[in-house]
Amino acid sequence: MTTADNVVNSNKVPKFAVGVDVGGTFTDLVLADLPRCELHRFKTLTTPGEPSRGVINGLTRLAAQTGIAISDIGYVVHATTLVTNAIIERKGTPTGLITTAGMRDVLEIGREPRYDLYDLYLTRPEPLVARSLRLEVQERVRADGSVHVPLDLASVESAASSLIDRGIRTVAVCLINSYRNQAHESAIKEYLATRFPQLDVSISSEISREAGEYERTSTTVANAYVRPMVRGYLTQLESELKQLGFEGALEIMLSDGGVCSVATAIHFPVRLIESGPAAGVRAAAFMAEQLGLSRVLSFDMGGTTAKISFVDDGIPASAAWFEAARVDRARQGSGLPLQIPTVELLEIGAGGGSIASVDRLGLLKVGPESAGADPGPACYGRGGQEPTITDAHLQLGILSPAIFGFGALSLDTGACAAAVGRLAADLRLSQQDAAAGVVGLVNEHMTNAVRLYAAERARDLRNYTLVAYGGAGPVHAYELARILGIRRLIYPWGAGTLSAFGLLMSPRSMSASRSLPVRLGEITSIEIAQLISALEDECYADLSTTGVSRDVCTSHASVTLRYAGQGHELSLPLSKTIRQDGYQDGAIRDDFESLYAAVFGRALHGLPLEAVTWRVQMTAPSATSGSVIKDVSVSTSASMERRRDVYFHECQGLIGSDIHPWDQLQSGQTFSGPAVFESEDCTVAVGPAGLITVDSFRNLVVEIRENGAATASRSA
Amino acid sequence: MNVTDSVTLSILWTRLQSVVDEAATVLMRTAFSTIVRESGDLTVLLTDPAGVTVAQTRKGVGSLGPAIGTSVRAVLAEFPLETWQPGDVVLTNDPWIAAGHTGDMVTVRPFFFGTRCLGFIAVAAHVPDIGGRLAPSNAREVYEEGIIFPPTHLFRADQAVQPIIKLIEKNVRVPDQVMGDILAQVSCARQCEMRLLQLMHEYKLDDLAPLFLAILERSEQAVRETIASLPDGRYPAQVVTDGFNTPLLIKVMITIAGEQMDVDYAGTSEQVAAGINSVLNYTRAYTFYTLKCVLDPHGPNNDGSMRPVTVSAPPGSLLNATFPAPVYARSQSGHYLGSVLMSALAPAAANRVIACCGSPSNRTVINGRRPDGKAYSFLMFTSGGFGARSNSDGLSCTPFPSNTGAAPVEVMERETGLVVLEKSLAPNSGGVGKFRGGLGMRLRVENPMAESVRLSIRMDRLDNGAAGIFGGGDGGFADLRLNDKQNVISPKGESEMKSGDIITVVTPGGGGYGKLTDRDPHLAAQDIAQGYTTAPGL
Repeated sequence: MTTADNVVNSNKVPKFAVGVDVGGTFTDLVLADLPRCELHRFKTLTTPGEPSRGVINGLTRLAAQTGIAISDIGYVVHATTLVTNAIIERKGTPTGLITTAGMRDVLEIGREPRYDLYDLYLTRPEPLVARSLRLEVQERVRADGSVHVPLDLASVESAASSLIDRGIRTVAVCLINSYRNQAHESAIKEYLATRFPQLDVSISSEISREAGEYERTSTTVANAYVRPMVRGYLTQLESELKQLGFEGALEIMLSDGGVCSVATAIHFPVRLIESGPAAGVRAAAFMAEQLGLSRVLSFDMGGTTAKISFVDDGIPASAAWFEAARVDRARQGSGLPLQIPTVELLEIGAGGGSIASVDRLGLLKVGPESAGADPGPACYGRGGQEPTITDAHLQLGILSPAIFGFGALSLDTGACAAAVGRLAADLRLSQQDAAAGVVGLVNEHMTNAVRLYAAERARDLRNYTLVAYGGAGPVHAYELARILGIRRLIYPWGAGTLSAFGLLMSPRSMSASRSLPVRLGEITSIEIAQLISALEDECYADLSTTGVSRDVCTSHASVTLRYAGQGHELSLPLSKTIRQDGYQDGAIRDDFESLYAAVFGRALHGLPLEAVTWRVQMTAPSATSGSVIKDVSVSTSASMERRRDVYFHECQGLIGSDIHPWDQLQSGQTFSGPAVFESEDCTVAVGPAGLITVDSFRNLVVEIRENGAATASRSA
Repeated sequence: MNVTDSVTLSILWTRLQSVVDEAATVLMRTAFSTIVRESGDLTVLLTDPAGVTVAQTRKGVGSLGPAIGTSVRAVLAEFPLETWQPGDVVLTNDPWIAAGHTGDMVTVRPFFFGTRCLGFIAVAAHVPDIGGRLAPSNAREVYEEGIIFPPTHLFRADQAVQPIIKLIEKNVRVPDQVMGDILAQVSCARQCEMRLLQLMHEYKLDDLAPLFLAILERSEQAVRETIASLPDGRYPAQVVTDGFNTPLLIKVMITIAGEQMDVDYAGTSEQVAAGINSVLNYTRAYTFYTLKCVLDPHGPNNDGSMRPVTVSAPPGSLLNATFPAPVYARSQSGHYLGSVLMSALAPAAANRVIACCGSPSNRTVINGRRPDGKAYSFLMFTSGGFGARSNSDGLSCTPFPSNTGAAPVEVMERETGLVVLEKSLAPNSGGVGKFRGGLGMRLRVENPMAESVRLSIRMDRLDNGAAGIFGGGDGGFADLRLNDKQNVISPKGESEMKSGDIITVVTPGGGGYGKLTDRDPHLAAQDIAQGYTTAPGL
């Protein structure tokens, strides 16, 4: 094999590609042998202090295990929690803000409403930049882009010197109305680059060219805050990989479900914030495509949170903003807003480690407190005393003590029984009823959240197929589907490490946007075409750093529109027809009104329309594109059990169930519930109403035979 | 099935909550009214057959809920339980039984299981228009404030009552939007009913009464225990508001006796000939809302939890205005209740209350013409500082008890053509203390256009700061200036900004908590370093 084979470019497929997902507890790796269409999986502990070491260790061991030379790996795609952790734990680099005169408190005033209606003692996240490091410069641009007060560079000089004197080396620049006219921000950037080259500068018109000064400032500040750290980390990782003989391309997962070059990641580090979860949704989208499913609900559940996402026609639902570092778990409004393109995820504060307790009304309560990974559930035997969801599953026979977490853990049934026993005593119930209550209640929380989410987005859940993954997703999915009236579920083989697999299945992508609020009809179709084309050029400038040529890139354009006078916008994709016909007003209006009617039940004909933000997402095939990959990894720790009593809610009791080692299933095999499928990283539980088929990728496809509450065992 | 064991009750209760939240979500999505969609000026609740609220949505403004429960009972007084058929809908916006002004429409729909009525679904939302003189605060009588519907059938057995629909359409400025929103309320109630029947099917229930009973009893018990933990006694307080032209007094006496609490507003000023009066139902709603924040912030939201509390105010007073008093801008008095109740309860519940907030929020409507000549009307709320807490400083620029805030500067400038020269924290505006009150906001706005802009302002606390507690200082006053001059424009009326004029608005700060001498020196130093205060002790 020559090194020439491994060089990644737009038309060469590498021999070996690796996806590395660094999570809170585990670092997951998957290696794809592309010519053979085979996949190998590997899990190692994350090294929080020095994340690149975990990546390098994992890669070295994976190479040793499979007998592949690192120099033969042509492509590595990486997802990291570095950015999200830096913002949550406030471990970024001290940052300064330069802003328009009169506006330095925008970052602190934020949005005024309280995120909790009743809590007088609620807290807000501290701004990433303290007031004394937020400095003002003399300049002003009006809402129409005209200059009200010219930029005074002397005031820039004095602000920057003052920040440098206080040890600041990374700065965010965000000026009012810069989304309409970026001249002052660009001039400041240029001035600082010459005058203070040691400063790392993020300007808002490059990071997020959208209206809304608080959100844009918050985004730019977060970018500046994590940038030196991300630059250091990725530069070091690249050089360590090189030392191991790696000569291929390293690419990084973005929150929007696409990958980008290291250079782009260093420019927009804030866009990496949801890179791990986005990779999982991308894998679910890949499954949807592979299995021809047009409506998929992606369900990812780990130790502390569950994440839900809609995937329609193979495309993950997207959003243009994200909220980071929420003070109140999963509570909208309690975090820092970021204007970034992202896969839209509904986050629910429920995971395997969620703690069950009795509240002051004497009622059972589950979460949002979590035992996390350390000490973890009582059954981990690491000193956790509180009963968690995982403990409840063990108590109910759904989990086996023998097989859990890649053999890294064997579960302590004694500690589990003691914790569940204490809860049962408080509730004056049997241990089994208490454990069943815990699982039932958390399922109720999750299904309620999903129903609300679907109601907000006008989706009918009964049309969807649930794809379940993550350490805890496959245990809950069947019951979730049953409660929601969903009839079909897919459990992907390798569900516990699906995000790492998703990394290899993600296209390269880049997004650019610009707010240009204007009444439809007051902007010509030529101006729209020019705007879209400028955004495409911006996207390609970044995409080209991965080595792809422009002719393989596909662009998707959209615009947010509303009826003039309303504050609420809808994102309308600009269809191929609209684009080919040169952006005619009438066609845009017709599409908008159909969309509006679909979401809100009726359109309001005759009212003027206002366009606000124009967006382009450009994608290009990844280095692994077109490969059909089959997982050949084999579990080493199959359970000896063949049958045990397992609790199912539809029976309201224990029922003798067959236990199957997942890795030994053959394509085409079918089973009837109740049944449990075990692999070393997750457990699937399917109740009596389920009919299970193993497909050719070893995925489990489950049909639920009855609607709503299956009552087979009780009516029998 | 035993619905009252701790696990089943928890699951079913969670589901009921979700059912009303889902209905509210659907309404927020389908309403035209921007105040419903973006400010969440709505509520959805579920009552038992007697009109006792069992579950209320957590979406929208929580303070409306207690008022709407009363509406259902008032509707039942008019149309007794046995007269209802499935698919009936009764509406009302009568301020004295609905939400305190004509702008909120309440619809009530029963839900049946077979032939039995198991309860009612009440939905309230702000309508896009209700006729009259466009929400003035200077009306002399309620007749100027739009058309009033006493409890009236909108549907009988799912058949629309056409004369009522025609009557509504003839009396409002945007009939399609108003009728569309009212019908959206009705479909939201239908959705709620469908989900309730689903729940009953899923859990094989043929009645919800035992579930409702258990919910109300447990909620009531929890609040009784909290009240019992507070020392018995009589706790008076009073607050002075700017009033319309002359200052007004709000007085309260809270009596705690065992597990009971009585709130009496005797001694409060008489009603006035301006729309800042509050009807008793609104007074009760804001009293309950504040008490819930103090007594049971994380607990359930239903009539059970308010059973141990009684509320009264003298008829004909500012807080129990009698027909035909004008009431449209009732928040101008009602939003002071949070302050007076906190002050009263402070000695009894030191770690639960907070100092007074710089409320009511400033509400300004800007009317002008866009550069293209089209008229616009832009509504803006700006908040004052939150009161200091027993363990921390008050939050700056945070509304209470309302929950709406200002639009972004960039949106406001785009919509109005004005230029915001400054939007900053007002230094020294928080009341001093062991913990400092939240800071108010300082807003300076210029009219750079050739044409004038008209402002309609509702602002308070220009003469009365938010009180501190336990020795904490009062929050700073509000301020309103035109070209840096005070007393030029009215804080409760119409005014004009000519070309080149600059208006300055400062919102009031929150009160302080505890003595300044007890302040942690590090916090004091931090205040100076960050410029929250400009000199020690300010």
